[in-house]
Amino acid sequence: MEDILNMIISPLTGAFGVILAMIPIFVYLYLASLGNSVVEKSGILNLAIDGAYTLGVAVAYVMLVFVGESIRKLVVDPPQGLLIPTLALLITSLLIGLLGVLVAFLTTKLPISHGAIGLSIQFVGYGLASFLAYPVSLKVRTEMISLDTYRTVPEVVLTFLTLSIVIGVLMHLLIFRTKLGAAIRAVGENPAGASALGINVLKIRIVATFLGYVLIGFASSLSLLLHWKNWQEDSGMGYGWISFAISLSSGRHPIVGIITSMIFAILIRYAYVLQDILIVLWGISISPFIVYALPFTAAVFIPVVVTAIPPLRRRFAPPKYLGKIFFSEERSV
Amino acid sequence: MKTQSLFSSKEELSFLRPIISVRNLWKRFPGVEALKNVSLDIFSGEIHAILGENGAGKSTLLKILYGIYVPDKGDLFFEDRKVVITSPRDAVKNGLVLVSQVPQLIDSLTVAENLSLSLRQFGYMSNVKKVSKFLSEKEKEYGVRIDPDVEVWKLSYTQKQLVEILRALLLDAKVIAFDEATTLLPQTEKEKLYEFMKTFKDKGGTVLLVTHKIPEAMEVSDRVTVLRKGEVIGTVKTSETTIDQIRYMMFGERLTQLNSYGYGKLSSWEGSETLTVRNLWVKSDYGVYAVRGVSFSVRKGEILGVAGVAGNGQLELIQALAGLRRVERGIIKLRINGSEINVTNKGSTLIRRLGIGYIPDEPVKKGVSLDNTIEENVAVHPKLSKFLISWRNVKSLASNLVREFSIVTPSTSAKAKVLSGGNLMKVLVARELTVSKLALVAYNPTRGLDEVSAHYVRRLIVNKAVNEGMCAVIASEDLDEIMEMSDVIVVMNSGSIVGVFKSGASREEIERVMVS
Ligand SMILES: Nc1ncnc2c1ncn2[C@@H]1O[C@H](COP(=O)(O)OP(=O)(O)OP(=O)(O)O)[C@@H](O)[C@H]1O
Ligand SMILES: [Mg+2]
Repeated sequence: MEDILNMIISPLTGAFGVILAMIPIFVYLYLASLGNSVVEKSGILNLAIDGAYTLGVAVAYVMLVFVGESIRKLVVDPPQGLLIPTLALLITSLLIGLLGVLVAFLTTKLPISHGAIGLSIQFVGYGLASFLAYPVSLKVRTEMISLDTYRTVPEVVLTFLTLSIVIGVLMHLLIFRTKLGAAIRAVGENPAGASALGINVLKIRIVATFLGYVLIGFASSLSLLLHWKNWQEDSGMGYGWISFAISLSSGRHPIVGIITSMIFAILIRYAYVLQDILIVLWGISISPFIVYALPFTAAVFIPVVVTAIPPLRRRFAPPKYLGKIFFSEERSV
Repeated sequence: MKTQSLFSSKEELSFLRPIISVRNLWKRFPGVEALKNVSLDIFSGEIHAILGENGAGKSTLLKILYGIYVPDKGDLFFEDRKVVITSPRDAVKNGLVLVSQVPQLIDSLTVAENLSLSLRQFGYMSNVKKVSKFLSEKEKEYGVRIDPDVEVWKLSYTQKQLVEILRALLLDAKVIAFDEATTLLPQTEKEKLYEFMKTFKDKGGTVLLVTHKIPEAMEVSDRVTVLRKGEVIGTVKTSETTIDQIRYMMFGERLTQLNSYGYGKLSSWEGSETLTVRNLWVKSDYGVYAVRGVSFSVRKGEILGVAGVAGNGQLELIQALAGLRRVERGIIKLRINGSEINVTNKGSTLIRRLGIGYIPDEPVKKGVSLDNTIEENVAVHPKLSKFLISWRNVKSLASNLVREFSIVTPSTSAKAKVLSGGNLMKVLVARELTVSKLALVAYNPTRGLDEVSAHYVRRLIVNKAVNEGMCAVIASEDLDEIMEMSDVIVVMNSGSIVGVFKSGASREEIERVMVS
């Protein structure tokens, strides 16, 4: 037992270290999944998410360097610490939010499947990410620019943890307690009905995706600024899909998402440790590929279990109109 | 709701002032001209009925007024102002609210959440609880009792319609348009709705009423406009016209189909019982017993009518017979060519393959697939296609059905969703009557059909019983329909059969058992 414990703790220092290392992962996965949830509640199948995430990481990197340089140019005694990464964080969130507006517009106005639009934007996102960040990364290396990321210390990490939970609770209140939330759910369930009730479907979807993509932008920036601290080709790729899976397996519910995000964060951070535990305890060895697939297996498994329980089924059912093309002149009655 | 007429002295005057004027309206859909040069005045303070056969363009006209469709050409005037209405929101601003046959509410949202979407005085950030409190107060004022915090899917159809009307009132509607909103209501509720319309009119409101029941239009309306194939045939004062004149305006030469109607109901089929039900117990969606120990049998060539106030177990009984609802206790047996088959809980595919037609309660949701073509909707039936589909046969069958049932459609390869409400129902009924060799199980088989089509369908059912020995179990909220077709009528009340009548029994007596 001693061995195992040491093995878990060794890379860090004590139980607190274990948790501290997990928190940033939790924070960005949770925020991105929240973003995905609010987008999909409005009926838009969010297949662009991984592209948006990857692009967000790249934009945050570019912004970090750009903002850092500008400030150093302007100010003689450049401020250390929070200002530069926070500016990069906010600008990136806003830019990715605008990408969300584009997604809402295309999926609502064009008679093209959400899948086709989402995947196209995903690949544009991948391409644009490399196009923007690669030259900057060369520059950073040759000029040995130091990156002003957040420091992974308890104060900062816990602040973001608190912030993410507060955002989650606010999102819950927004979706389930306000008229805007009712409108978002309405356009996701039955856009024709919502429109007959007097809702402008496009407007509500734009608001929902803007909010959602701001969160996705925020999350992807954080994964760079608080966790990875550097950019390389493909940074962020796959994390959009993981958040997508988290959102799905939490039934797009902001509070339930806290738990599923936690599970995924543990799986991602400690899956390899789990691999070791299995070997030490029972001599079972599993392939690292299976370990890598664990989060995704969970993403399939959890919703299957949840929707098998009748009282939960209705609560956690996907929006009825999710991914369907909405023609405003089509029969609905 | 106690009200005094507010404008008795001004009546004549306001009657001359159109609140809505429609001028030279055109609307074209792929393959069909739905409205052709329609002009019409709706006067303030009148109940104006709009009649016409299935596919005449009534719903299209109302949807244009309500901003769901945009016209190709033509002008709209609200209170003499020229208006452009491109969304329901615009229509509401001008004082018009539409209540349609299918309530336009979001099932997964609560009543308060639904209505909040319409109420502009509540901003997007306002708490739904506030809306809910506001509603409770308003409901008291209007004498409506519906829990604002209940999710809409839990409401009965009548309650949903009430929510729609409440919405219209809360929006200060000057004009409420009803598109077949009364068709599915039980008689008592219908009368309440007429009462409401008259009160609303007495308060100065205007009502636009689309219906298939000519007597209903005669009873409540002040004027009637008839549409036919997208054109206005004429507008008449209700007090100066007759049912026959209106019928003629609606159907023209198709009316001969109505006159040649009459079924020599002389069933010559002897003896054997095709369908036997013993001590059937079935639960409702809410898990309580809706059918409690029902037993009956239907012989070859016999039509059994199931009467009753809506919600007394008829629906669950019909669904159980079609194999779509679990039988908790009891047995359902069929006799085919002398041999008996127990079909209790054997699933609907088997039942349909055996030659049983089924007309469900919500045709649009449960009977047809809107995104598929008429042909595909025919081909999907397990009796008509097994493993491979013969499209040639399906096509010719579909076009036969379209002709026989005078279904208004650009072609048999049109998607079902482009059809008018009544024509959609006809596709379903036509398919089911084709496959019902042994028996037909139906719930409101002629709902939404115009008079001529409804008669055609009833006659077809009776003829299939008389000539081919098909038996039928038909539940309907329209007692006249049941009395017209049935050999035997059973009345259901609280899940049990409380009365059995032979054809020719008096209406009063049946009604008495229904409500006792
Ligand atoms: N969204 C649509 N797309 C294509 N065609 C349509 C659409 N809505 C209606 N139509 C066509 O327009 C014509 C008029 O339809 P409408 O629904 O107005 O008829 P209706 O008078 O309401 O009939 P019903 O009594 O059957 O409800 C029909 O031929 C119908 O097929
Ligand atoms: Mg109609």
